[in-house]
Amino acid sequence: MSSEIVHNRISMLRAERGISRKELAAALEVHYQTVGYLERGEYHPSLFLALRIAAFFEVPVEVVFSLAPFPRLGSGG
Amino acid sequence: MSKHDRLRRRQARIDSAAVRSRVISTRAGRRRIVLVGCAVLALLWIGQGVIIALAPSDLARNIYVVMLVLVVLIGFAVIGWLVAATRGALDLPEHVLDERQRGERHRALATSHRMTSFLLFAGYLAALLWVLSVEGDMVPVPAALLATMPMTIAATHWSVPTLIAAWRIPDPTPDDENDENDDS
Repeated sequence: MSSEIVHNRISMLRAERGISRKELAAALEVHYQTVGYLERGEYHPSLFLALRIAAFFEVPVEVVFSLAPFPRLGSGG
Repeated sequence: MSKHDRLRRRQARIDSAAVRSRVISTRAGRRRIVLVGCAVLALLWIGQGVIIALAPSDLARNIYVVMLVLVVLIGFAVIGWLVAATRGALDLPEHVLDERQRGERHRALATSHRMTSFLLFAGYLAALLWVLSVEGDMVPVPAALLATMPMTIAATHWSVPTLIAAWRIPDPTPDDENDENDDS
């Protein structure tokens, strides 16, 4: 794969659940800036961290991470 | 208080300093501080040149002492800012860092290893040229050089990884500061 872009829905899930960045970071045992970098797509997590994020939100990992862009809300996709 | 708690408190102090320091809140600001750090390191090495060229003499001593005072005063401020900018990724023990910070640390150490290897090789070539330029079998080495050169090498070895990490680190997320303020 030429460009290693991993799309994620962390900020959406976090906003939906009303969880602050620091609360998520504490639950995942990472620095709160790491959550910010994850949300901005400036850092791609290890498989271990990706699975922990999915487990935290109680969703399958493919709901949080995708190699293809997620469809926009209301796009009918 | 356990050692782990002390480290966590130190990490929190570094985070707090990073949020308070406007000068390191942007990439341009951080890079300016890194350049000042490089200039301070260069001053240390210029000091070695002064010793080689002028020592032993009062002039060499006076110039070097003035340079050293500047290095200490500016250098400690710069390192303080850069440690805050990198959130202690190069200074805190690895077990208190997360996977992203450990990655940053390893990349900075790998790059600095290549850079300092190059500098050591350049130093070796410079020493070789010095030896070859002197007539006879003895090279007059000022005693001051034996005292200050190890300190200069150690300062370079210690600070280059932090300079590299601070140069590379992306901007913090904009609402980090709001998060921090919410807690206080």
